[in-house]
Amino acid sequence: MPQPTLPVCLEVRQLSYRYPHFALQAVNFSLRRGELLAIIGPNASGKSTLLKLLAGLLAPEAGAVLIDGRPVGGLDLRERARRIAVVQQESPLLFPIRVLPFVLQGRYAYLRALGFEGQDDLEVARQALVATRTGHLAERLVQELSGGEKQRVLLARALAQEPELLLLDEPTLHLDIGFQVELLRLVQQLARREGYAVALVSHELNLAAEFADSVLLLQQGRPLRLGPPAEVLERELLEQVFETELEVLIQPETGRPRVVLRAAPDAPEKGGPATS
Amino acid sequence: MTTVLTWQRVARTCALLAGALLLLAFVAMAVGAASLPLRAVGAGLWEALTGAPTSLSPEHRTILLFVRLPRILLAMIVGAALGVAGAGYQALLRNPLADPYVLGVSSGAALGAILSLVLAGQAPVAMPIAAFLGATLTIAGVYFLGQRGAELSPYTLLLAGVITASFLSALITFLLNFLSGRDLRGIAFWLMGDLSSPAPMALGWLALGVLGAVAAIYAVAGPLNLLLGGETEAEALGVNVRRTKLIVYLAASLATGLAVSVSGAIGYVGLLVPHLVRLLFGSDYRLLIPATALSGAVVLLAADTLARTVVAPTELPVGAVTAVVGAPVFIYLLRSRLPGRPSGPGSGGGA
Repeated sequence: MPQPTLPVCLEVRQLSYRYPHFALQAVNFSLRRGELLAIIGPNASGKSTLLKLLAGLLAPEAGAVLIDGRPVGGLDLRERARRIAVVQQESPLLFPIRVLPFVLQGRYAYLRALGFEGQDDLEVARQALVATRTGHLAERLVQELSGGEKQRVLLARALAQEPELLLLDEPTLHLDIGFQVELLRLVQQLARREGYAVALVSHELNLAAEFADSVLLLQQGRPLRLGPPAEVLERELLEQVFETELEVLIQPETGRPRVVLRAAPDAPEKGGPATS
Repeated sequence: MTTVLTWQRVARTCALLAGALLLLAFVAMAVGAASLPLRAVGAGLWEALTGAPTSLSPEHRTILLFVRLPRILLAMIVGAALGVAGAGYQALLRNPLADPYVLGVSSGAALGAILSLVLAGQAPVAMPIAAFLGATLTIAGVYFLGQRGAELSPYTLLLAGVITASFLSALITFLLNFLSGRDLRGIAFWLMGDLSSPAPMALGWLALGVLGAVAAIYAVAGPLNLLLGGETEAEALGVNVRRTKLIVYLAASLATGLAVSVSGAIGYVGLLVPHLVRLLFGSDYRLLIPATALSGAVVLLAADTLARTVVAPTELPVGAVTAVVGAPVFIYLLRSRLPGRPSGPGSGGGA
């Protein structure tokens, strides 16, 4: 659990954004340092749009995103990159690059014009590699890494920005369950030990339930509920939002919810029997 | 083993390339339709640098200082301009095969230059300006033709460039009818890419313009590195994406326009040289831009020296030499650098 003494890092007030066929409406929440927020919801519910607004990559139509009390949109680009780091869904690299120089790209906002990275930048990058357990990959080509390794290297580059706020857009996409758990555990540790405020978008309800301090559920651009996992991941609510028959179990040891499919006996090919 | 770039490494690499360039220039001074002794070359260079009279014969002086030296300098400047323009377009368009010639930008610049000849005659500044305008308009047109929806497909972009080049060449052929009084063989050579006719503008101004364009692209070398990994990623890392792209767009087009206005459409230098430099020194633009400028000078000087020696006493247009090497390399890169299915940029998903 986050220590309540840590200060609020991110404040979102009445945040709205409009596309031609879709609108994100009146989102409100605040995020303390050390806190991990999971943003969940069906496809096209506005999760990634919200994350881009938090990152300052989109300008809000109404409302405000404040980081340490200052509007994100008013920050100089480099200043913003020193406060907010974004791990986006990986886009292809044009030319081969090794892991260490790739992670050093996170230092761009700290370099002078035409500058080269110095010893201190190198030290920050190496610490980021250690924190994400990718030190052994430093000399490998990014293009040759496995999905789980690549995600951790992207996270390392974000940490090299030395941000207060870490935003992750579906960081576990395309990862097998082992890598998913490993990555989320890592992110949770970073939030708790290093005091990053973390907001992540995920389709994995159970990862959100297990690792998040709070969960924000969106549906068609509207915030439906915000709170601790057990208060948001309720059966009736999830069944209505995801239009699927679900079961929510509460883990007796942790009190955290666990979402499972309700087996439909007349359609075994959809749910299928559990194979442990 | 260190993979981290330092300014010392940039300086060392540039010194090495500059040394190679000087050595090659020395050789290029000696060879040609008349082969000159190296001692005469040395004397000629000494005269050119210090102005002090030497024992050089008047005939040799003419060949060295008024025929070969200007041409060698021209080859160097044009090679640097085309190489850096290619490296700039590759990052700007996120396409490893971008090159001013392949994208039709050189044809656009040539069309602009010929239009200025038709309309304004031999006005000294009109031609490079018209060539620059032709280059900027063409690359903008190819960019919009290459776009499908919001995505810029690398294949569609290249096709758009090739088709645009063919269309513009047809327009050039049409315009040539209005220049029939002029030396059409000269124009035909120029269109293929040629360094044999004396530059219509002072070498000093040409060098200054190219240097400005190279410096402008070098100034955004750091942001360009990040741009290679995607625009929103670069923006999140603190890059002013719009300003960076505008600078590269204008500077690469200026370099192309200047090069074409003095030497016609020399192909593939902007493709070959940056890839060769990446292979040798890595793909960090803070090293790539200066190394490409120097290597571009080396490569085009070597190509031009071949062009005027292999069939001596006549010569080939240098564009023929670069195309003989460049076209196969283009095909190789097309097959190895772009994803197998033309379904978008899905490469880089190793293991």
